[in-house]
Amino acid sequence: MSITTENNEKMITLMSSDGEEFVVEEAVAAQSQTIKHLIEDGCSTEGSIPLPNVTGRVLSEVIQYCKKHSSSDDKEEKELEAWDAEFVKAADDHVALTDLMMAANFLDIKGLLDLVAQTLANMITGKSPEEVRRMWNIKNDFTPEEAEKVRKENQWAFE
Amino acid sequence: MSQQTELPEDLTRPILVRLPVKSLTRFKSVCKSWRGTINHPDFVRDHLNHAYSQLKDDDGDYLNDHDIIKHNILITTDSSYRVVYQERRKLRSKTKRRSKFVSNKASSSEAERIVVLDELPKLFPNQPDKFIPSHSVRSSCDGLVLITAHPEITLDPEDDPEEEEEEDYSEMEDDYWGQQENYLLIYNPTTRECKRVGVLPPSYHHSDAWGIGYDHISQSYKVVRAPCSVVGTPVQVLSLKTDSWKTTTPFDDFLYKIRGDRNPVTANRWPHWVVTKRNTDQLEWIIIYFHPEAEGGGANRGHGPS
Repeated sequence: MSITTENNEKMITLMSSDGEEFVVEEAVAAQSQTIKHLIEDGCSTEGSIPLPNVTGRVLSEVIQYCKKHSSSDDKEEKELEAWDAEFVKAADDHVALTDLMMAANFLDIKGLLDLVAQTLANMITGKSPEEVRRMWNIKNDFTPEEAEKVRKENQWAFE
Repeated sequence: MSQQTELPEDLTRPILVRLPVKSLTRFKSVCKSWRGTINHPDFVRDHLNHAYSQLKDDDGDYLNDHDIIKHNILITTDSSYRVVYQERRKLRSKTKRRSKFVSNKASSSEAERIVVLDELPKLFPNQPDKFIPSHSVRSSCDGLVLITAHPEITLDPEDDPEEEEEEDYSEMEDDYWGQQENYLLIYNPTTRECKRVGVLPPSYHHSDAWGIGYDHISQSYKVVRAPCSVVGTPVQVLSLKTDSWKTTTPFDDFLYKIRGDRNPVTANRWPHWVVTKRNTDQLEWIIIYFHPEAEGGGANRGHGPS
């Protein structure tokens, strides 16, 4: 493994889809399995690592998360949980959370993906199918007859 | 919420897998793709595994009893042979570690819900409406309940065969039970779904012990039927994946008799029974289990009453 940490504090540059550059410690960036593999494959030696799927706004949030989680090995788990809760609250709405989840998925950061998925799940738990469709612009592709049938079969879940 | 975004296909599952069953059931109405995902057996398995993973800490150990959401399900048949489903839920606040699984507002609450399920008779095909089938609840695993159903007979509720010693079954009763088409139901009280899974083997006897367990290798639930008292008697195993019976002799080195409850306790997704084993002149109390992967059995020697 080529990663050295702490004492060396090797820095690498990440470039977002909209051209914003972020200089971070390698240990922080390596929270992302995707970036870790790119570093291992020697992609970080020449200039910056381009991340074509992640905007600067989202990438700065992701880096915040990675910084917190790479430096918190010896911290109380409780404190980290509280921090996570504040972090997703700051993301504000399902649009920002969905963007964050796409980035976590692309960058392969399991902890962040779990956190955001759970937050979105909590958000929709009590919602109606119509509300969920509106949130994510999902097309209702059932015919009226099919819709009636599915609804009838699962009537208890609407009560 | 005026803004709109789209949810990529590969992000749908990680969200859905974290939802309670009631929400999932409702969300089958969202669109065809969601319905397909939610109904798929792989998703059902992932959903269950995710629920189990919430009961363990990062090292894979089960959390302390008071740290987890207690969720006991108790099922009995009442005097009119309806299935009564009782769910007792206890939420306790957690003192240390892993508070994220209990929502903050549920610091300490207890809820109990009893549902009498009248819909079971509807699941019996080609039966007159007035007909009341009789059920015996036998065992459960992962929240699925194994029920044996005897559609042609209605027992007198006073005459509870559970109370009788197995030796007391007369030949007449053998005929009585043996001639009917008796079959098994797998019932899921959470989703309220019920499935008929197979005709009972001809050697069926009401005093048989029944268990249900999960085979991780073939990824199938398996039903086991064992005679209540045997000397090297084979047991029958039904794989719910193939819906076929198989005869095996997992306990053939035992001469045992089931004591106490004939319905097993399911632990680690295997059914366990308390039995006595006869050594020359004394009884030894042991726990036996059925191992669904190996379709074999085993015993744990315990300290029974002396």
